Amino acid sequence: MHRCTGRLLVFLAGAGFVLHPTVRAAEGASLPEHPAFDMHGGGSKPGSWAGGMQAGFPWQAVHLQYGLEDGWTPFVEVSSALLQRNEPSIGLALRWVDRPRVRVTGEVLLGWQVQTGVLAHSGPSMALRVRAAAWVGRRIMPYTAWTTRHTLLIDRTALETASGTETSLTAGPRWDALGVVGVAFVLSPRVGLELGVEYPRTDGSTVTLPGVHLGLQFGGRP
Amino acid sequence: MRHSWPVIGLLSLLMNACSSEPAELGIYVQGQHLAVVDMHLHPGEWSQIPPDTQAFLASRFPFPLNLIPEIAASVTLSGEGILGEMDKAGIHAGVLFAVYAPQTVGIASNELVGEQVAVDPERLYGLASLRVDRWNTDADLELQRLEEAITTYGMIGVKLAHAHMHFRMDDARYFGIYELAGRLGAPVYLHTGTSPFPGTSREPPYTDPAYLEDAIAQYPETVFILGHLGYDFENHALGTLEHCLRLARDYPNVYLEPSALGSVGSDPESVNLPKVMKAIRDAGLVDRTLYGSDGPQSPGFVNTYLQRTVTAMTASGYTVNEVRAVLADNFTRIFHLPAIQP
Repeated sequence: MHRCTGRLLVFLAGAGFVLHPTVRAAEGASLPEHPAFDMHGGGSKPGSWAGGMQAGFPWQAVHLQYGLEDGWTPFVEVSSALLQRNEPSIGLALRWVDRPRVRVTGEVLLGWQVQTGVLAHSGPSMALRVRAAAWVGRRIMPYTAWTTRHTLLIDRTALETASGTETSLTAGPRWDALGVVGVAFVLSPRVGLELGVEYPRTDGSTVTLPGVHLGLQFGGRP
Repeated sequence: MRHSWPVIGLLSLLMNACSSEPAELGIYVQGQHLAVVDMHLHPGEWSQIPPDTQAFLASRFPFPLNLIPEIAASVTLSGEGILGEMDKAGIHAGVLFAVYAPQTVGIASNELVGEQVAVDPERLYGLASLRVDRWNTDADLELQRLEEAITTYGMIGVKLAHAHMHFRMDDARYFGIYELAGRLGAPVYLHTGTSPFPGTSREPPYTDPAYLEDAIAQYPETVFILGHLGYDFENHALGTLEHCLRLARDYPNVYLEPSALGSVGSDPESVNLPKVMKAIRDAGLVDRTLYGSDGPQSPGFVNTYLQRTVTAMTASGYTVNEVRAVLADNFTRIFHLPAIQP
């Protein structure tokens, strides 16, 4: 067995052991309205809100959403890779499949990508994301999310000549994709904890390394 | 630097977390255990690299390391980092290059190389270099420093890159470098072919080793190692390979080193490195060829390049003894070092 896989399984087993006494207290919570379900299955019931934070390598993120009628959920989120590539976005989610134990949601996001450092760039972005989550029993919820993001990178070129400085703007597209699989655990009726693994594809052909994160979900009704 | 040492530690951990257990040194070819020397490795300091080249290098790092290239570089370009990459590849010994090309690829001073070699002097060697950008006034001083690096600090050879350092291969004002190297018994490694780095000279007098012929003929006691075999890194083409082969055939003091040209980025279809290795064998120049990778570049590159080179050799019909010669024995013979036992 690969060492990483072994370590992951050991971690998951450990997490389940640690959570065991706590999750008993969560029994009786309404699964379809749990914030972890709303965050990873996507969307919130009308009048409910949910938030989440994740930290890991390389991504960190915060996400807040509020449920409206007819399956619509607006949200805001900010994600960052190593605090170097930052992507604030607003979005709208629509629940496609909305059953008590299974949820599938489509999301559209509009934002701005700002990367600092040696490879600095910025530009507007649009992303499409599909989320899916399902309960296994009352405590564990595997989930997945797949995102395709298209960014228009804007370059400003200043050419200094004897007659003055000429400035021009050029733009080029860039495509990023991100797949996430993970599992969320119920900590309480209003709080969930999750571990996820990310499979990115960034900057078109750039080779990418997988990521991992821990996240916390919470929510309720105002 | 904005990032703290804990981040560097975390990155080091992550870069090594998924590696296999420390590998046995050496590789197996047709059941025989062979020693390996990588004669082309680059230590360095990120701050000594010009911004355009920093961006070029960062763009070759995998995501997300390309977001924090200075940290990734501090891990991979140190003596410890290079030894880690050598361990993963099973490489017994490596040669670290000093570089003085402040306008293009930056500076890795003789002192820096000496410090990194000292991390494990049983496995690491150094090639010294010198500045040539103020040659009209500083030539004597630079030659003196070069001699000190070799005689006093244990460097075993000289590294030059005309395309990076912006001086012609046939410019006789610089022939004193070859004279000194020959007198000290220090082989000279020369970058040949175009360079992918920003700001380098691309014209033939800086890249085509045919322009070295006068120096090669004039200093028969000096060993000339033609790095990259004249590869055209701009167009991913064989470039002036034929000139390199002819020089090696015509002059016994010319050697060949096929680093970097067969990397995933420079030979995306994996066709050029096999062609080069076959051409070397067909020309009867296996005993003039030394293995090098041009690493570490990015995590895993040193290992990948070794595998690609061995694959290219076996596909070209190299015998085990020929592979053994290229991977280690030619190097120890040319540099007058003890043979390495796998």
